[in-house]
Amino acid sequence: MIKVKFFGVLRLDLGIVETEAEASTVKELLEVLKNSIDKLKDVNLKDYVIFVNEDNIVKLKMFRTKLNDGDVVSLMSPVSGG
Amino acid sequence: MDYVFSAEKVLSESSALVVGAGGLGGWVIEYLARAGIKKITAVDGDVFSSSNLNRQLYSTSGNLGEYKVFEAKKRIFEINPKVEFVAVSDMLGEKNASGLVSDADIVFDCCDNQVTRLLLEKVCSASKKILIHGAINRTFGQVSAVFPGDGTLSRLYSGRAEKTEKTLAYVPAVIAGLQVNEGIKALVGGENTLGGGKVLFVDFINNSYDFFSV
Repeated sequence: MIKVKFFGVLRLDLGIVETEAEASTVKELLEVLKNSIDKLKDVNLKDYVIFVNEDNIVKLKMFRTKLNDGDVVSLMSPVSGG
Repeated sequence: MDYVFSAEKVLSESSALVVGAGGLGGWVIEYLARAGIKKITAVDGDVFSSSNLNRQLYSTSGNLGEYKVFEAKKRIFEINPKVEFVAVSDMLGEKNASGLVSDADIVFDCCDNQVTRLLLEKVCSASKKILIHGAINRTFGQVSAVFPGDGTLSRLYSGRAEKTEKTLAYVPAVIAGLQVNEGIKALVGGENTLGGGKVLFVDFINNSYDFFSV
């Protein structure tokens, strides 16, 4: 099982801090989330910064990054106000 | 040597460039002045408006319409007249960025937009200056110490940033405190900073402090 954590306004909009899902890659996980969380249906999750166990997927294998039981995937969009 | 003593000594010989004198910038300027920094250069071409009153330290009902950097200068003179304060009532852009950055020992990103932040990262990296990033929105904040070559902000803002909406009064004060903490650690010796691509994300409502490597 993969733990998924939402950050920032995405967290507020969904009203969900974290959830769990079954998936073997980041790409598959994003599809599972879109299909299981109604408010994500029209959201392009690839626009978000995605971390697997605290590492940005740009430093891993992007959406092909493999996921293992117990991994934590975090989705966030950076804030930019000052 | 005691850390507080070391910090005060280094600060008394250091100059900081603070880009943005609004929510974050006001508090960063205040903390730096009270900590005993030698020189502050504050850059912001904006004036105070009523929408700033809820969170921008130097805005008052009596100074609406006045330049933020000049109000900051007046306030800092009252607190610590020994601080050399340079007020630049202009926005940071391609034309003035290099000159302003090159004169500073450390740079604080207190901007309110992605474009200026990315310009600042590029110029600081080229000038071998440490950039202390802070950003806020609503009840969230983030902080990082960007060392030359880290490229933290270009990766962080590679997707979409959140639309900026009203931020609660205490959020800039806390994030600015964390920024100054990172800045002082970087000036003292660079140990235990949020460098190397690390970013701290703070969610005030859920009391969560999460560290990521971007």
